[in-house]
Order: sequence, then structure tokens, then C-alpha cells
Amino acid sequence: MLELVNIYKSYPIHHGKAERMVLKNINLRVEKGQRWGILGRNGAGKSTMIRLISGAEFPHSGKINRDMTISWPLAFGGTFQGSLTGRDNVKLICRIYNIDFKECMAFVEEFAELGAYLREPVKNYSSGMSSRLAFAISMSVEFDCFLIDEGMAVGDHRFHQKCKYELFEKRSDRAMIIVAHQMELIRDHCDHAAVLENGELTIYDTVEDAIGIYNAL
Amino acid sequence: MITRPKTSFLYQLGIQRRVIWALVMREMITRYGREGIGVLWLVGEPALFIVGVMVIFGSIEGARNGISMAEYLAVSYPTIILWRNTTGRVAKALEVNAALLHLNPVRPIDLYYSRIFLEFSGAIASFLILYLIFVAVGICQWPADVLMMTFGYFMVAWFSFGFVMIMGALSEMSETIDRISHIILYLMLPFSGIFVPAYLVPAQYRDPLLLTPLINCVEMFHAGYFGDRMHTYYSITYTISINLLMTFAGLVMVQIAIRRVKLVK
Repeated sequence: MLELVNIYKSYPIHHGKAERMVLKNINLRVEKGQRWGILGRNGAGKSTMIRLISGAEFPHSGKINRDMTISWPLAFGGTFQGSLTGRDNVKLICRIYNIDFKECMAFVEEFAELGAYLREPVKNYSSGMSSRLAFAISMSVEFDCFLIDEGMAVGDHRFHQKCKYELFEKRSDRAMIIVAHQMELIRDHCDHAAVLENGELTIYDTVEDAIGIYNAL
Repeated sequence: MITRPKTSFLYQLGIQRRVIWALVMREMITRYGREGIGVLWLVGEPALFIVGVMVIFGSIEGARNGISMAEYLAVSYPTIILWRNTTGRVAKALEVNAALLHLNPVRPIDLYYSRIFLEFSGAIASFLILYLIFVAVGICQWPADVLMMTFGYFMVAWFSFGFVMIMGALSEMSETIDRISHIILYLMLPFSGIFVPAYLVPAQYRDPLLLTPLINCVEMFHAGYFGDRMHTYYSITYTISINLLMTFAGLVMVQIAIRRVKLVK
């Protein structure tokens, strides 16, 4: 279960002279295996919400209860140290999550298809390559709940299909929170949906209802 | 496989230990790479610093009570590495590494702890190695009281920890502090106890000067090393109280800074 209780989040604006409330009184409860789609326009606070859920930032007030392990936002390559090799980055994740490095490396080699590049610094990767690496690493840690921010722009078409299969078919028992503009992604894969507007989250009965409301915004 | 989040203190401590170690290894490879002497720079850099200062100032003829300038510096200058170099390393540590916080087991404070751990290890190792060499070549002697010297070194490290946490938090909260932090570090030199031992300071200035905890710490360290050869001034209870206070203030301020981190992405 993942629970957001009365979450408020503000950021300083005008060099700290004022505050902007980005999220207002957010309440959400994600049970095991549920797939949530969060819809919202640019700047509605979707990514802020993801950062709070992943634990990268802290709410201004309110409480987040997690008793599921939660992934970092998928295909997020920002944790990579550019001067380290792909292999060293895998090692970092393995150490942090306490998983077997050899097994993980074997999976990443097979899945990301980066070949000899894994022994090169990540800064030499193309953006497609580094998101391949990021996605492969996230699949090698067995999370209970996956966070997906803004459609997974991972590599070419074939790799994209492979990711979808790996995530939505092989891991269909996991919880998921998808934050996106892409309707299809949410229509195809979610069983719950909510719309974020002006920092307020409204939960709708069906995914179609939420999409309808979002389209009318 | 990830095991379920557990709430027991020891379990959580296990995670934190693992995370800090992972961050230390990452930082080490990032900073020193795998080429040349690589990780040895961790010890080599502070060691060169100490040797450099000793070569320049050690030639000054100023032996007092049989203590040469070189000997004095050999057991004084290494203390500076703890608080000065580490302060530089933790500045903006949160902002620079904010993306790492997406990894749920990584808590912001671990970013501080891992950097402090790495820097302290280098400082301690370089001091121990140089000290043994200095004893071997006859610049230094064995300590008069090893226990006291160790205690003094520990006190310097403890002071540095509190100081570094405070400076780290401030660098995160204020651009101004971040910019002037090297000025603060420079202006601290006269109050660091390394260049002038307390007994050489005129009596009327000595008492106010001894209000600085760092001087007390260094004096304790000196008391352990020099023993009867040098008159030292310090108050253990006063220094422990101030160190406690600084550690507490540092931890609170870091928590405040953490609440204010904004990821760039």
C-alpha cells in the first residue's frame, strides 16, 4: 500500500520572498497491483507528485506512508554519474538495493543490448542508450510499485515494445503510477485514474471519466 | 530481491550502512577514476599539502624548548585537513546529487555522511602514514601520551563534523554563504590553533581565544603528543559541551536544508 495523506507542497518563488503552493491537500491510496493514471496539463504538479512519492523531495505538510518498495521514475537516467561506466552505475544500484551484481549485470547486458558500451563512461552514450540502460536497471530490481513519468521515451520502436512487454505483461501483478499526457498509455494500462489540476487531485470512478474530464480542460 | 521495508532500528541501520558504502565507492571512482594512482590520491592529496607546508615553513629557524618548526607543524597542520577540506566537499552536496534521492533507500543525510567519511578517511590515513615517516626520519618523536593524543585527534574530528554539517547546510540554504565559505575558512586560520600554540599567546588574549572550541581540541592533541615539552591550555568539559551543541545544531540545520531541496529536473 502507498498512501498520500493531506499532502501540501510549496516552492519558494521570487528568490524566496514568496511561496507557490504546487500541491494542495492531495489524498491518494494505491493498493498492491493497482495501476493508476494521473492526468494533468503542463505545470499541474504531476512531476512534483512523482518526486514526493519516490522520496526525492519532502512534502510541506502531510504524510506519505509506503509499505511497498517504490521504483525511481522509470527510464530516469539522472542518477547516472556521467564519468562512470554503465557497469559501475549498475554496481551502485546493486549496492544500494542489496542485489546480486553478477545476476543483475547479466540481465542488463541481455536486455539493454549495449554490448561493449557498458564498459564506457555513460557520458559517451546517446540519450537513447542511456535510457535503455536506465530501463534495464529498473527492471532488474523487483519493485512492488513502478513510477512512470511522461511516457517512456525509451529508444527505438523495437526496444519500446520490449519495455512494454517487460513492464506491463511480465510484471502485471505490480502496482503502477503513470503520469502522462498520452491518453493511450493510460487507457491501455490503467484501472484507476485521477486528474491533477491547479494542484488539486480529483479521483474519478472510471478511467474513461477521467480522460473525458481531462480532454475538456 | 528486495526485502520488505522493515521498521526495526537495526534493519534500517543496515540499509543506511549499505547506502553510505555504495555512495563512498561511487564518489571514490568518480573523483579519482581508475587511471594513474587513482584512489591513492585520497591519501596523497592531503599528504602533499602537509609536506608542502612543512617544506616552506619548516625552514624557519624558530626552535623553542627543543621543538623545531617542522616538528610543530607535523602535528598541527594535519588537523586542518579535517575541517577545511571536508567543508569544501560537502558544499552543495545535496543540490549536486539531488537526482540520487530518487533511489528510495538513499536519504539526503547519507550524501553528507558518505562525503565526510571519505574525506576523514583520507585525512586520518595521510596523517598516520606521514607521522610514521616523520618518526622514522627523526623529525617527530613517539607521542608522550598516545591515549591523550588520540583523544585530541578525536575531538578535532568531532568539532570538524559539527562544523562541516553546519557549513554544508548553510551552503545549501544561502548562495551568499556558499560564496564566502572559503573566506570563512581562511579567516578561521588564526583561530585554528595550528600556527600559534596557546602558551605563546599573551595572557590577556589567551582566555578569550580559548573560547574557540577548535583551539581547545588542537591543544589536547598537542598535550598528548608533546607531554611535558609544551605547556597546553584546554578545558575538556567546555569543548565537549560546545562540540555537542555544534553537532546538534548541524543536524538540525541539515534537516532544514533537506526540506528545501529542489530537484532541477
